Amino acid sequence: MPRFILTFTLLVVLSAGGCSPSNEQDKLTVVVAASAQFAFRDIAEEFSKNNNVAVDIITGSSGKLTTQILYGAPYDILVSANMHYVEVLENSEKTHGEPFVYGCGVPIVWTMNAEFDLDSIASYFCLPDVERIAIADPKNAPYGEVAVKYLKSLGIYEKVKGKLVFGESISQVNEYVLNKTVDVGITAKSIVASPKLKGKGFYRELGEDFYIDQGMALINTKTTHDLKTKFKAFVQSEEGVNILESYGYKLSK
Amino acid sequence: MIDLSPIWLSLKLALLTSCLLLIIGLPIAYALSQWKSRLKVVVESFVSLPIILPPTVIGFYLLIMFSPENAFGKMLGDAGIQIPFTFTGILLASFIYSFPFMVQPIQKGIESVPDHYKNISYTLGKSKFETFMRIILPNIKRSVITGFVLTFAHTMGEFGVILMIGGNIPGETKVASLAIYSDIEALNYSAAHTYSIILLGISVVIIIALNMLNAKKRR
Repeated sequence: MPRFILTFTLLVVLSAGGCSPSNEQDKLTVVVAASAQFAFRDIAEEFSKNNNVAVDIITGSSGKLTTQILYGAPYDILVSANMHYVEVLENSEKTHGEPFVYGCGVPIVWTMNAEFDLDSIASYFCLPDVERIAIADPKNAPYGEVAVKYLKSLGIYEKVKGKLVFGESISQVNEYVLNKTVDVGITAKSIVASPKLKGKGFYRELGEDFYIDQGMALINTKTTHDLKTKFKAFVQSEEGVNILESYGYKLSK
Repeated sequence: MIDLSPIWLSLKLALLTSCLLLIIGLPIAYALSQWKSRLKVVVESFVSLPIILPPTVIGFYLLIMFSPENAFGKMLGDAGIQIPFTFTGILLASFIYSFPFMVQPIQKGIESVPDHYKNISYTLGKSKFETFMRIILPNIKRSVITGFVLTFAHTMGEFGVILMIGGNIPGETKVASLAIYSDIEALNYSAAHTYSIILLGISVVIIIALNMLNAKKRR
């Protein structure tokens, strides 16, 4: 018995030494709304190449990430999918400087079904063949909120309510659509415009009325503000803007 | 090549949790087994609570309890102890979450040791501590190992609690189960598969080891 415990304790000590990244180089932790994850992985990669800084990207729904920041998570920058959450953080005095809009998000209807008549979305959604429609949780995810608004504007929300499946963030919506677990989903153009998914399925934009201002905020953390400001500047630079545009974001001139 | 640090982190977390629980769980299990009171049922129920409670509930309350926004969390923070979003935090969460998996088998084991074993030891003038170390412990060896292995396995598969209080930070709280979750979210199915297969392998080994142990016991 003592030998057994001793062996395990030794293993623990060894494994503890084996996996703690102890090099204290400059590092930025950027948390990104699910809709912006692919675009910001690219941006982070370019940024870290240019500045020789490691950038950790963590994704989730804007709401969950905001809650974690409110409870003290050591995240340096929040890339949200709307303005609401960055404003919540600003009001709780968690931000460094004012939050800003980095682009306009374009919500889309996305399906793998070639028969989908994208010109008459309202009637398509109501077909009995369409059994499941995925949207993100409207409570936590801006694209989910917009999806509900969209269905209401078409006047079919009550009719299709029973068909709705809620993803925790649009990441889950994407999985459902991609694996054909659902017939159709409402997600972000920045997802289908990513190199990984380009050309998969069919999509249609919901229209200008449903564009979402995308907010970003620098958070008060131990990391130097200098580094965060640099990241912000990079997102707004020509290079950053080009990446965002290639992912389908609309940028105001 | 995928980043193996989440696997290491899971192993480290599971081992530390199991060792800590072993040290603290042993005396608690012993005390529970010797305790004769009507309140015992109540205390035992509290011990098994983490089995029934949804992990998100545990995570949520830990998050609130240790948040720097309230007095207790702030006090800890001022003392330099960070709980939410740190390795210490997920270790604490795993400790609570796996508590019954260590205590219950050991308690059952101690209770199955015939009373006259320790009574003989007492009449021979041995202290309670010595009796525990030299009579009870060797007799419940298998229960202790079962508790240890169950705790280890349970912690390896932990997800909801860590997601709430850990925050998915690479190298700190991003354990294997969270890495799988993130990779599925990012549509990196191949990485998710790799992590899953490694975890599956570890689980199979653990289950086989546990069953072999039990088979030996029956013989």
